[in-house]
Amino acid sequence: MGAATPLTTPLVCGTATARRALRALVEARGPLVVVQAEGCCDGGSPMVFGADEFPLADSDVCIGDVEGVPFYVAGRELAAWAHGDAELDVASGLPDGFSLAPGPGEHFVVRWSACPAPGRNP
Amino acid sequence: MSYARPGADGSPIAVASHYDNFIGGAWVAPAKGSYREDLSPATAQPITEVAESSGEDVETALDAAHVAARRWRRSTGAQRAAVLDAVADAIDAHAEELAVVESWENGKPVRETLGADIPLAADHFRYFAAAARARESRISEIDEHTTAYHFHEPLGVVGQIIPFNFPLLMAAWKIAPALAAGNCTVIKPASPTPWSILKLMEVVGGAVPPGVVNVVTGPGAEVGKALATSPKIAKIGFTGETTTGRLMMRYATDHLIPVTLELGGKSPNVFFEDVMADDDDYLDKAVEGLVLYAFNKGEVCTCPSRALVQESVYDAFMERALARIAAIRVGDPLDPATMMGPQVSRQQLEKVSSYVDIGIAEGAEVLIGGQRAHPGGDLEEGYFYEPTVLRGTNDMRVFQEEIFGPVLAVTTFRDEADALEIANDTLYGLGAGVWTRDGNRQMRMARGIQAGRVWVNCYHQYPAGAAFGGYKISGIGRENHQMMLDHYSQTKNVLVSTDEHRVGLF
Repeated sequence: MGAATPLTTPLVCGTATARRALRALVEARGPLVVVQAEGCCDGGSPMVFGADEFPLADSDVCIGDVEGVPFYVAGRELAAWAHGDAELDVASGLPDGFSLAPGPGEHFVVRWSACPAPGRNP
Repeated sequence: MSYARPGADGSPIAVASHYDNFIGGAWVAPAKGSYREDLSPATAQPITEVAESSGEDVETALDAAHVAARRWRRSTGAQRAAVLDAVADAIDAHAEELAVVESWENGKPVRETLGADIPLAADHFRYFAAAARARESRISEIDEHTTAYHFHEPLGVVGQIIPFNFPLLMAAWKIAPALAAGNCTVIKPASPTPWSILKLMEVVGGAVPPGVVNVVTGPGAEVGKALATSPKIAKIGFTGETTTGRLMMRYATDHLIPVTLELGGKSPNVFFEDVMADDDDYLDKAVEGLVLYAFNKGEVCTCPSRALVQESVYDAFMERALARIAAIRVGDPLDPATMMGPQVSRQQLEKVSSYVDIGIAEGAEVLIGGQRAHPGGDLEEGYFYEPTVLRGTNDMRVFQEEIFGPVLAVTTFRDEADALEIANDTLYGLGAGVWTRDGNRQMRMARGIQAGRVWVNCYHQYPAGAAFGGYKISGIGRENHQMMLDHYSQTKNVLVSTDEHRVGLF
C-alpha cells in the first residue's frame, strides 16, 4: 500500500456537492480512494475507486482527504505541482475511465483553486 | 460544402433511435434494458441512444465468443486472411459513410477521417490478412535426434478496451491482430464514442463469423471492469490513460493473464536551427510539423505537445509557426475545409481550459489562443477550443502532464545535448519528433530519445508495419506490426526425440 504521507502543500478539499457524493458512495460501497489520473484520454481527471481496488504504490502520495477518502497523486507528477490546491467537485458528463460516478450523468473533477486553510473541509 | 449530419434530411446515413450490443453476430438488447444518450461534441445534442450495459451483457458476449472460438481457433491462415480482407473491402465500400459517422461522434474533422482514420483502418486489416497468411512456425534442430517444434496457438478469447480519440482506427489496431492470430474478442468502446464502432459492425458484421467479434457498450466501472476481471478472457488489450493501465495490470494479476497497454505521452518535437538554413519546402514541412499538435484537436497519445526549438532560430521559426496556427480553421467537423473540430466531450474541454489556467498561473506566456472557440450557430454549444501555444519551461505542469487537447507547450534549447536532456525529462516515452537536415544528428537524437516511436523529419504518420508503443509509463507491448501476432498467441513447443535408446538415468 502507498506511503500515505500527507503534505502541507498542495492542499486538497471538496465542494459540498463532492463531499455529499463521496459520503453516499462510501455508504453504498465501503471505503474509497481518489486517484488523480495520469496520461492520455481521461488522464488529468480524478478517479474514484474502491479502496482495495486500485494498486497503490509507495510512489503514490496522499495529499490529504475529502470526507475521509484519501486523495492520491503519483509522486512523479507531484514534483511539478507548485501552484494551486486541488478542490474536488462534481460536474455533468460521463465518468472518466473506470471511475465510479458521483451520480447518473455526472463525474468528479478537480478544480485548481485555493482550498480553505489548513486543507480540511470547511 | 459540409456533409449532411447523420440522420438529417439529405444524409444517406441512417440513425436508429437506439443501438443494442453486437453479440454472436446479432444485435442483442442489454439485459437491464437501459440506454443512454450519445452526444455529438459539435452541438452537444444527442445523435442516438446506446446500450448502457452491465456485467450480464459482458458474460453473454464472452459466452458467444467462447462458442465461436471452438471453430475460429482451428481456422487456417488463408481463412483468417479471407475474413480480414473482406472486412477491409466492406470498410472501403462504406468509407465515406464511416468517415462522416466517426467525425460526427468524435468531432474530428472529416478531412482527417476521409484521409486517415478510415483508409488506415481498412489497410490495417489487409496488413494483418497478409501477416496471417504468411506466418510460419519455427523448428529448431537441437541435436541429431531432437527436434523442437514451435507452433503458434491462439490465446482464445481476449478483452479489448478502445479509447475515444480514434474509435475506429484503434479498434482496427486491436481487432485485426487478435483475429489474425486466431482469437475471438469482446470489445468495450470508450464511453464518449460507442456509436461509430456499432456502425462499423453494421458494415462488417456479415464478413466475420458470428461471435468472433463482439461489442458491448457501457460505463468503464461496470462493463470495462466486468470484462477486464473476467476469468473467461485470456488477455487484456487496453489503450487509454496511464492510471487505468495500472488498474488493468492489477486485474490481470488476479488471473495471471498478459496485458498490452498503450498509455499516455508528452511527446517532444525537436527543431534544430538548420531547419531554417533555407527557405524551401523542407522548412515549410517543418513548420507544419510543429503545427501537427493540433491534429485531431490534440487528442492523440502521441500529440507532439512539447515543442523544443533551438534558441538561435526561435523567433524566426515561431513567427512562421504562429502564422500557420492562426490560419487553422476551427468549426463544423463535417465541413471538408475544417482543420480542427471540437474536443470529444464537455469534460475534455473543461480539462483543456483548466490546464491553460494552470499554465498561466505557473508563469507560462500565451502566444496564441487560450480560450473557447466560437464557430457560431448551433455549434456554439459544441466543445470547441482555440489552438493554443504556451511558452514556458519544461518543469511546468503544462510541460509534464498530458493535456490531451490543442495546447502546445514550447520552450528553447541551446545545443544538441540540451535538446536531448529536455526531450527525455518526462515521465512518458511514447512518441517524439526530430527535425534537422543533418543526417548524423537525426540518428543520434532518434537513438537517444527514450520513446517507442521517433519520427524523423515527419510526424503523425501511422503506416501498418511500423511498430508503435511506449517506453517508461507510456505502456507495454507494441501495436501496428506483425509482432502483435506474438502478443496474441501462445507458443506450443513440442520437443521430439527420435533416439531409440534410454537416457540411462534409471
